Amino acid sequence: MDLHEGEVVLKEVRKHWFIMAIRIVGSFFAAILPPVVYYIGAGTFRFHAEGEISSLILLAYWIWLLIVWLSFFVWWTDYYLDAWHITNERIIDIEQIGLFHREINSVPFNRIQDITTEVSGVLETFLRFGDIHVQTAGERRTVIIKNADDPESVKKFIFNQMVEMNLVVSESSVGRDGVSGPSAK
Amino acid sequence: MYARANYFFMPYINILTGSGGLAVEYINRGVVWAFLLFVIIYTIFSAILLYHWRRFSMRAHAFGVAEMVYLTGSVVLFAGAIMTLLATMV
Repeated sequence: MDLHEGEVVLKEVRKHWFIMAIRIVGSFFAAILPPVVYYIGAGTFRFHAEGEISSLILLAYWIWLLIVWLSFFVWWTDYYLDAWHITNERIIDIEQIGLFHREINSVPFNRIQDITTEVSGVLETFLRFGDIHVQTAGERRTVIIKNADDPESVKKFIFNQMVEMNLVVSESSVGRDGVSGPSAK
Repeated sequence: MYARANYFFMPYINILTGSGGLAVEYINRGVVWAFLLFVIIYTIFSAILLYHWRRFSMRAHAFGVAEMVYLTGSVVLFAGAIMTLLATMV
């Protein structure tokens, strides 16, 4: 990510920790699933692996654990690198999908037309996470960060930044028909 | 030192070259080759992962910790797998 001269990152916005927690729990269950299935199967079908077969099963299980371990860190990379960096000039939207797809979009504050947040669901409401949509005048009309941590405060932060840059007078002046944000200056 | 290394690796070398047998019929050269293939694939993916962390981390502390945890965990899990494989070759 290249920053302009004098540009500083003021805030980093990531997905809520709950999204990562789900993956941690998922990885944990994936790790313990084979022995659970084995013991249930062994009990049901009165099967008992001995000697070399049990060693082979154990080897397969070690390999399975390595796959789960690697997958978990690929997910973590996806979670950690998928972020918004709010600078004193713009929003830099970095979208990391897996290991081989990375998209970087830059939205200068003066191109922002509207910002909306969407928090829907019980968990989202209580844990305070949701989507933030930034509508722009650019080629890519809307930039979205899904499951962002505390979307309302992020929205306020961006508005405050825009007010500081004299792009809007107040939060309410953004997104009003015809006189939206930046051009309302 | 050489003797110890020899003792450790000889079973694999014997299997791969076909000069040594295994005590069991289930574990043949195919298993060791498959394991070696897995090691290669795992190493390639790990290298890509670490490359991403180094390139895009922006010197974030979290990536240093992640690197340490990831490598330690991988070494421990591989040690378990190799020991299991060795145990079947005795």
